[in-house]
Amino acid sequence: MSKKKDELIIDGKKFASRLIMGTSLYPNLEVLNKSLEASDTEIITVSMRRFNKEGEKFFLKGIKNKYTFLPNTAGCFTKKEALLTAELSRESLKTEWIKLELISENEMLLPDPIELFATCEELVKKKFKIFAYCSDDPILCKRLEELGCAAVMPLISPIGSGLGIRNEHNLEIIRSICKGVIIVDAGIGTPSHACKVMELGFDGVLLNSSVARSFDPIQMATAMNLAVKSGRLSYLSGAIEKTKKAVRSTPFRGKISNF
Amino acid sequence: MKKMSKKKCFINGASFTIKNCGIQLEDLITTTVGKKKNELSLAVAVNNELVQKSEWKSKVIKEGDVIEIVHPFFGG
Repeated sequence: MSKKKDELIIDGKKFASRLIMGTSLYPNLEVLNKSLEASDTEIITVSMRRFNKEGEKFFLKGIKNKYTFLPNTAGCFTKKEALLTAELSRESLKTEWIKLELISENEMLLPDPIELFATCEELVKKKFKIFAYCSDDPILCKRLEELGCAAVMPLISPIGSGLGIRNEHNLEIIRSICKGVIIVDAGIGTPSHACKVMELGFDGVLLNSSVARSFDPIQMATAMNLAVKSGRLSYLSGAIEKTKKAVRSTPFRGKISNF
Repeated sequence: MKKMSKKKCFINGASFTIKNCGIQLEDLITTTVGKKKNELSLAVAVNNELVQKSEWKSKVIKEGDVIEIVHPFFGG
């Protein structure tokens, strides 16, 4: 009997990889491209920024066109800014996908749930496929899902902090009440964080800093790739139940007599 | 003879001198970006509103207009 392919399906599109990679903060374009290759990613995030020569180099020569682009609204504080950025990205990249980031302040870069929700309502009407970057509040995640977001993307700790999972129980609740695509975004520091997220049953992981700012980004990208795959396989395999006492693995029967 | 006065608009935050009668957006983009304008997946907003590529030719930029020319860049 052939096993059903385990694919990530977003907005009707199928992906073999469950790791979405950011493209920022890499030491140079060569390391960026090799890291993306090592990660096996199929979806990469980009920003929309004012025209300059560096950007020209990035887009014309830097990035291979085999990836699916997920433009973001990074740096936006208001609904007005985010709506225009989304319109500009749709025009530029001919995609309805938008990673909606609406932050509320500059120190922790935490998402503003009120502004985010209001912006999502507008973008849904404009037929955008929203990837909503949000806080790890289960009810907010559920409401965003019900609103029609293509993917809901709770953080596990602040952007670029590398702190990993801060509230595992919230994540468990999110996974249990949201039936759609939930991708963890922001806060991953090490492959073990990514693996744990996948073991909890999330659909994918989006990361950037943990690879780009590591000492060896290409090797770290390989590690993240394996971690996400490993976590997913673990989730699908069904882990054993935890018990308070030991459960013998080697059979006692047949052992030589005690003496 | 009346002297032709020069007026300013703003492109990506910098001021740019335009003729009194205005200038076509497409010409302004060519001046700013150069020949590669069709390869760069540019998107343009004037006064905080998207102007689609098909309208670049007809859109006339006037004094005080604020133009944003953007394209994809590194991002997380």
